[in-house]
Amino acid sequence: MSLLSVIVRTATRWLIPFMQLFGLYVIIHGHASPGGGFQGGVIVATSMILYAIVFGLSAARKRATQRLRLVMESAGPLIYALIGVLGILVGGVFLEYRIIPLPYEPHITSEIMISIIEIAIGIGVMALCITMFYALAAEEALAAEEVK
Amino acid sequence: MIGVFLATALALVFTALLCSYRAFVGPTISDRIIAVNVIGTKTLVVLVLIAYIYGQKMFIDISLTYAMLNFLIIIIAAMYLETGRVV
Repeated sequence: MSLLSVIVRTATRWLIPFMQLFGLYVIIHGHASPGGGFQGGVIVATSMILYAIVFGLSAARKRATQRLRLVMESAGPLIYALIGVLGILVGGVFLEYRIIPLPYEPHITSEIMISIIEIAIGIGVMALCITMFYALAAEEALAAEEVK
Repeated sequence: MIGVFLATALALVFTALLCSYRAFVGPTISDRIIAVNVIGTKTLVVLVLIAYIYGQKMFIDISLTYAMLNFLIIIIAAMYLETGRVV
């Protein structure tokens, strides 16, 4: 059930992969350039919001099911906390990833751990933004039904 | 070469000001939407020119984000005008 024309639908179908690729670039490249997990996660969520607007809310709910979103919302902070606790387990303080015993130089280890944390933040923020948009849109649709 | 980029950027900013007149005054809503779209596109080009003027690549990322948001805003505004609701 789509209300928009075939031009918009086709353009959206072509554009969404590039938007998600750009979001992934912002997440992965976050430690070396502006951006990071939060911003990249919001960009990836924006592609899903565009999908929901163009193809309808029910189709978007099938793409990103509630179960998947719940798992991703929990997985992001859990990975973050796991990396933090790893610093305590090897004898430092919370989030002291410099001393984690990997076979690399300390600053390389630090960069790897920061990248993992950025990816975790990206997953969590993406699922959270999509859930927030779906909840607001469902409320809006309910209000429109009541007016009718 | 930087002088050429600077002059182009300033000219684009001036024409964006002219467009903002149409966005504020515009008789119909379609005029306003198209004016906002044109201002967004001009902002995108100015950001790319700034990236060349200052030699900082990160402005290209920002202009890509601008292009994405511009498309999204136009779709949502057109949808709202057409049907009266967003989703």
